[in-house]
Amino acid sequence: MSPAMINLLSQAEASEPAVQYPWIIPAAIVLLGVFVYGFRDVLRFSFGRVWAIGGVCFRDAIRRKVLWITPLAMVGVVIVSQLQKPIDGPDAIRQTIKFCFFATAIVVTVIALITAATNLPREIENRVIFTIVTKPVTRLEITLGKIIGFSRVSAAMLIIMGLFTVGYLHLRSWSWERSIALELESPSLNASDRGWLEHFHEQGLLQARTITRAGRLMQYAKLPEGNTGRWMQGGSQDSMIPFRVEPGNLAQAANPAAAAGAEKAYFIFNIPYEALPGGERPGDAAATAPEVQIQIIDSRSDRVLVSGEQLAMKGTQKPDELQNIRPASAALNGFARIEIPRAVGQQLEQAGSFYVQLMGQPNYLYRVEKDAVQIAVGNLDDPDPAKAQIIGGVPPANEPIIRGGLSNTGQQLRGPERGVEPVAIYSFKNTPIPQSINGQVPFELKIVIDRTDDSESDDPTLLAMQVKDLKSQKISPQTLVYPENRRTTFFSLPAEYLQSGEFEILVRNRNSGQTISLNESALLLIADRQPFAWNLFKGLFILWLFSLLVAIVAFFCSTFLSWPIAVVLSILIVLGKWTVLNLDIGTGIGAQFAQEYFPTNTAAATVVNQSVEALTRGLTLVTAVLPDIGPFGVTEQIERGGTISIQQVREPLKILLVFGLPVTALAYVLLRNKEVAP
Amino acid sequence: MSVQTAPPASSLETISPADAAVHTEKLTKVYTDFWGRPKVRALDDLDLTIRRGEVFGLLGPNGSGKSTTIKLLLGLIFPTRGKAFIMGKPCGSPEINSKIGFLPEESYLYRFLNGEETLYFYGRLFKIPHRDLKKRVPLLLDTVGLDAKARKRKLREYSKGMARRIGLAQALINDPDLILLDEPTTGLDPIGTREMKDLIVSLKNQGKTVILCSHLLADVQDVCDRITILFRGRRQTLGHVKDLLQDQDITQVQAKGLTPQQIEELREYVQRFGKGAQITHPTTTLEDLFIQIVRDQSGTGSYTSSDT
Ligand SMILES: Nc1ncnc2c1ncn2[C@@H]1O[C@H](COP(=O)(O)OP(=O)(O)O)[C@@H](O)[C@H]1O
Ligand SMILES: [Mg+2]
Repeated sequence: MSPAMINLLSQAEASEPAVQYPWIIPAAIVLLGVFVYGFRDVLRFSFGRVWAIGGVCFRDAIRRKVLWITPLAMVGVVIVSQLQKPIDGPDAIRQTIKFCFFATAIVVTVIALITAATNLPREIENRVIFTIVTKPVTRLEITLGKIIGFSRVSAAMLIIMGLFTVGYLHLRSWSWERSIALELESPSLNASDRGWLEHFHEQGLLQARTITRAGRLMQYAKLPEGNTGRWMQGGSQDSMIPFRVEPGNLAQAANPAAAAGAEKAYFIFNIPYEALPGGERPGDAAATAPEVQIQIIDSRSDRVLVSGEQLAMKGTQKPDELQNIRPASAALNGFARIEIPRAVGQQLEQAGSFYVQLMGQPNYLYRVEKDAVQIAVGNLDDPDPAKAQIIGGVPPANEPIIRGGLSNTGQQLRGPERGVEPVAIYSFKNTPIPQSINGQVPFELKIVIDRTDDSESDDPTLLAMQVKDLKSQKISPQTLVYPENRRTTFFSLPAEYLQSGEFEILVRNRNSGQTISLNESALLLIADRQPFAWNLFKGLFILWLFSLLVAIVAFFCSTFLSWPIAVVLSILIVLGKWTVLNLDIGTGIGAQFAQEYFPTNTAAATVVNQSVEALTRGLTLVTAVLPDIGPFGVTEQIERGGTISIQQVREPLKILLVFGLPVTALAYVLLRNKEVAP
Repeated sequence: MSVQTAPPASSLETISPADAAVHTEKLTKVYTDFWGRPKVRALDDLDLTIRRGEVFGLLGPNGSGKSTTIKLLLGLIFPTRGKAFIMGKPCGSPEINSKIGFLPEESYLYRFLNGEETLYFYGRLFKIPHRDLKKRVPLLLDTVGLDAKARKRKLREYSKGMARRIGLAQALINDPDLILLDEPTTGLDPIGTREMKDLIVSLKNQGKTVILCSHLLADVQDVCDRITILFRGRRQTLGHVKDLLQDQDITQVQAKGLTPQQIEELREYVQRFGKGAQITHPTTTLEDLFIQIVRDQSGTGSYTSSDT
């Protein structure tokens, strides 16, 4: 399955859970380590001494010429950014920001790591620590002093690199802005280019704006009316219906002894359809409906859990009927049923949550409402649909998702064809709306244009945008936008339809024969603008917090390890969780593994499953205590010109508190019990 | 010739540990390797009581455990067994450290600071107000003999003797009551050595306790009130320098230009007379005592000595 799809599915599922940090254990470590064990040291605490130790630590690093690495990094950035081949000004600036930020992050992190890991071992080795420890200095003061020293080194480097970044970026953007001004004077400029260039001419290339993403992106064959009338076009759209089941829900699976003909679990499909003009297959009577293909997809791994064939094999009805459900015609509004075989039921219960994916035939539209697919338990042979008992806990948890065909870059949205004009709908909920300018609210759009069809039209792609206010159900007049391929386009929509904060943006492709691809973050609402330098400062501040985390971990490791091993262990501690999260290791991987390598040998599969599960559990346990460095990553945001919110500054700060403080406390306890002689 | 351990100084046993400047009980340090297996027994059951106001010499050949003792007293390392008290309090605490000055074996200081900055830094660790430091720092630098030019130079440019001097200055920055000097004269020129000795005497006159570690016997002999000799981590002797060196039953004959035959005759002659041939009681040098102890203990005679 394409990564785009995985992305889509997980976004539909996750509703931005508020990150909860387990603060009790860290607080207990700090309390016990510092305030109980080190109570006397706390009483004697003097910030003057801490600052003096930090100052010497800082001077030590400076004396060792660590700052000399910054000009090196700058030269590297300048060389790399001269060698780049940007498509345009904004791209050049974006890349330059990336290089600058990347270089800064690397330099600061590496220096923090090395200085912090080597400082204490070196002072013990050359015995400078003798003259410190034999003064009335507590080890708590030494620990904090060192950390302050490291943080000062990082801060100095960040200031230097930050000034360079601002200066260099202004230089670059100034020259690009000049060339934009020249381009704008050219009379042969087309409409989309002009709008785009004018935007940068007004706003400048160094931007920082707060963007708001839509909560959801769907695509329908027609604009739905309220909560009904969701039509899916066969061939170019598909539909996913989410389910959640618990063990025992599918009674039949739990009770294999049940006599034949008794209760069974089965799917009920209720999918009315409509043929497109001229779309009926020759000889197709109304009685033989166009097939719908089904597949069951694990919502955790996004893999196909059960294929249509698998469902068919164990069935009692004709295979082709099972594999391809023939929905009753729209007029008849009937039902199709399909038994869930025992093995499949078990698989579904194991998976817990899954999607039923529906794919139709071209030339037909299918209506996929909330009751399109249901799971029922009852007598499968009873023709009376009213007796179908929808079992508790399994009705669709969410609404059906209808999507355009997936490409690498998102969902494909086609132009109008045979009376069908598909519409992509971005839903915004609880969205704070910025101060409008002349009654307009700014948006930006970045899509991919596919002209793969032997398209006779060389016309520029044209999109029609509308806002639908969900409170009043009013729809705005169309705003036409000429988007450019893979390039941000700026447009604005009337503020009066956005005021309620609950609205949908309707996007239609006006060019028949052309397809565009868009994803959830293709359309963004610009909620706020900030000075670029201020945004950069926030980014650098987060980097500083990160370097502090690294320094604390490295110093902690150096209290009981030689410095090279301390460096390695620090890297493992800092990157451990991030790596595991990125490898996407979680429960269920054992089953996948077993299924993949031992599809027939059940005994081996069980062993493999269990051992892999145990391993991942161990790994998960270890990573649970490691810091999550995800919130420290803000490069992409700055690069895209997105503002960093206060919330985004707070998250790394919290991680630093929850992880950095207890590690500092542990470092102190270790240092207090350490013989500081070589 | 026999070496007599000094008669236990009666006054020593009567002072309580709380009154003593330093008091150790069965202080033992065994260095272990990475796995915790014992490697070296550097100090073995050391009992020591040092009075306030005295200059105490810790003597011993290289590797005898002198520095180990000092490190234990300062809390740089922790004893395997036994206890150590300074001014009646368990050693190694910041309260005690504020009354101590320590000159390490070699001057281990931040090499990127200059002499003045070094003293200001250590002064700040004692929370000495800046105003006081402004007065004390130049005074100290004068005392240890670092001139105006040397003060502004980075420590990495210092010669060994200069490093020794700045090390001494940082040990005295807090006007300590107890001063521990580990091999204070190494690296110093004869004049420097002389000055160091004078300084120790003047510290003593100010009522301070000084513990002096050395293998240079002449230093110790000149300035110490009492000494102990360590060998292989064990205390071999303890007492007043004068008592230790006064050798009651030795007779020294001094003559010039004697032939071997005459020496032989002389020896026979003296043997005939037995005791009473000489009236004077010359003192041995500390060196003799030292070598004797080492030879007795090691039993190898690897430390050769001139005949007396
Ligand atoms: N860190 C250490 N690890 C192992 N052995 C040590 C260590 N420090 C000192 N020693 C050993 O302990 C003994 C006493 O050393 P030390 O106290 O430095 O002697 P000195 O009297 O010359 O100052 C020596 O044998 C030395 O090798
Ligand atoms: Mg020594």
